Amino acid sequence: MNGHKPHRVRTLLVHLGLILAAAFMAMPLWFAFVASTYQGGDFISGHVGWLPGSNFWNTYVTTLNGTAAQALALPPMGSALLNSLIMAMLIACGKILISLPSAYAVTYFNFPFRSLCFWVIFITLMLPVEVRIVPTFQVAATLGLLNSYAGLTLPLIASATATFLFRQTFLTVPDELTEAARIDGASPLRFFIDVVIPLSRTNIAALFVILFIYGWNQYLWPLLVTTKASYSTIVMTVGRLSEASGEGDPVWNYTMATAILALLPPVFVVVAMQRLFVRGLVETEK
Amino acid sequence: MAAVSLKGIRKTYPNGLEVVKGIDLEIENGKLCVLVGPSGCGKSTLLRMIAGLESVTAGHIEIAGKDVAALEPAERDIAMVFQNYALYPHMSVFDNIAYGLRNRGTPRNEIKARVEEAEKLLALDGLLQRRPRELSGGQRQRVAMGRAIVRRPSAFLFDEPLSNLDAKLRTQMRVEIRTLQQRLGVTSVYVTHDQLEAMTMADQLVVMNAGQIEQVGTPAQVYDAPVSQFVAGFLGSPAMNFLPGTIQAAGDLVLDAGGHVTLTGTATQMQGQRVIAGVRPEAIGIAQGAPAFTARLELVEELGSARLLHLRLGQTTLVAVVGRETAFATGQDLPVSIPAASVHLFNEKTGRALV
Ligand SMILES: Nc1ncnc2c1ncn2[C@@H]1O[C@H](COP(=O)(O)OP(=O)(O)OP(=O)(O)O)[C@@H](O)[C@H]1O
Ligand SMILES: [Mg+2]
Repeated sequence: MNGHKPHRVRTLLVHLGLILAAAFMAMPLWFAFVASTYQGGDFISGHVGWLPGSNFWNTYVTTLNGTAAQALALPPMGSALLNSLIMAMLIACGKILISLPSAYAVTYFNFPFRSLCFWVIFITLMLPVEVRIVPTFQVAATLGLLNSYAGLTLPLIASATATFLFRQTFLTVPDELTEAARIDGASPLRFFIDVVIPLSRTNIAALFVILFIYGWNQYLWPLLVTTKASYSTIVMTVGRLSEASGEGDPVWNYTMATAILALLPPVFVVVAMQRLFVRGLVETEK
Repeated sequence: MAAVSLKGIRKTYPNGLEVVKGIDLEIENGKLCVLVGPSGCGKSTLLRMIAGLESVTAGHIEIAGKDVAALEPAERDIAMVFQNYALYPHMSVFDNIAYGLRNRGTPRNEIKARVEEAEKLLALDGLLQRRPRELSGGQRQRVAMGRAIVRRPSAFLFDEPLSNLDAKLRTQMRVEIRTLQQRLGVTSVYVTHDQLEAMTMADQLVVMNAGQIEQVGTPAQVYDAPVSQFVAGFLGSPAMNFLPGTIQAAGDLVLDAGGHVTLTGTATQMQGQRVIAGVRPEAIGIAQGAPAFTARLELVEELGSARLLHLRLGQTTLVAVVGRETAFATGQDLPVSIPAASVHLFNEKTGRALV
């Protein structure tokens, strides 16, 4: 009996520490939520405390039905959410669809300049959009991609992260499987579809989650390539709201409500794919 | 007609290492040929060249009378069983077995019939819907066999298929594979470094060393008449004892460690020659007939069916297998006899068998 006690105390302390840390991390979210439940001006004047106010219903209804956005001459909520969804999906799927075959090529085939190809792909890791933003904008403009989904997503799709990660995944597929498939008469394409992709399933899921969030959170690039309200994304709306001030008062309640709403789709994606996602990150055995 | 025929096969890896140095081998239809040899002697490389997984630096390979040089592995009409089974982990047992047939466009009902036939043959009943990871090692091995047999190839290739199994299962699977192979009558090439597996399974035993064939024959031929000290030492467990010595007067071999062994036959005419005498542990007699020398008993190992005696004679040690009728105490000096007929003589320098 006695021997158990210190153990329980320690477990309790550890749990307490973990709970505190989690609460600490969640604090900004909580304050965002609390702020969204007060009147716009209360946030600035310091009337916002720890607990939600009474304006929850009003704020969220006006945010969702577009009244708030309309009053501030911003694009409607629904279309912004849809744009973000389209952009995030295109980026995530586009990257995965391009990276899978390119990783397959550099991993499984011997062709002239193979390692050169790999390193060229690899170097793009060091050139994210933010670094090459001026020339990329120039190219997008010349190609007439401004104010289009292609312009929103293409420059973000072209990068090496996914290729690199898939290559690492493919390298863990045992050589014997490749050889067994060759003896079984599987063409390279069949092997890719029947063996390589199913074996990378969890990694694809994990990458999808990461890339979806990456795409969803894009701010700078969408801001540059879109001028029409019909292509505006939700993250842009959050940005504009925090600057807009309606009839003088900054509308912090709408800003925070929009931020909370903008948070929900990525959270949904993470929760929905959590099991695969975690396995994809942890699993090494094939 | 030879089902598999190898002529002057050589292999040099891109790193410049020549691991197969001219192999000529004919394997008869329906026979099981075992390639045995120490680790790194090029067995797997040779097998993989037959399979088409590895390019051939020089030489010709014919399978069922067809030159396969230009053919892909899938076109060579062979099936291979890998050491770690190489089952597709995400496919059910059924799909694993059926995959090769599907890729060849075999009709659906034919695939089903063949997989079910393999299921019966290999006692895989009720396992067809499982994933490989839900199977035991022996079951995985059977699935790998199933994948090979449904294709009805003209040759099976095995690369150490049993080395991942525990000793008991290995013995059992050995018998199963051999029985199945005889029943189906498919020519097989079987790579192993386990001499027991090699001896028990082979129709034709090929002992390899450093990329070359040392000896080819039936297991009994190779065991009874090894052409070199390497082969003699490689086959048999416990291994053959080697005692260096000089042939003195006609038929009298004087061992360096002390003692005399009487020789018969042509060996009697090799006076003055330095030799290595090889004696199998089971040929050595203890306290029977005229002793060749006396040796000190250092250790007794109980095998259950017999006993192993570790004996010391001067600087050398030797092992004898004896029945369990007599008990021996360690530290005893025992009279050791070596029947003339059981002595193998090898050239001291080249290791080649004399006579
Ligand atoms: N791809 C390769 N490139 C270079 N050298 C290789 C390659 N594969 C094998 N080797 C070398 O060739 C030699 C023979 O290898 P192999 O796999 O045929 O041996 P093995 O007889 O099958 O041995 P084991 O019983 O250990 O499986 C070894 O020395 C090995 O290091
Ligand atoms: Mg090997």
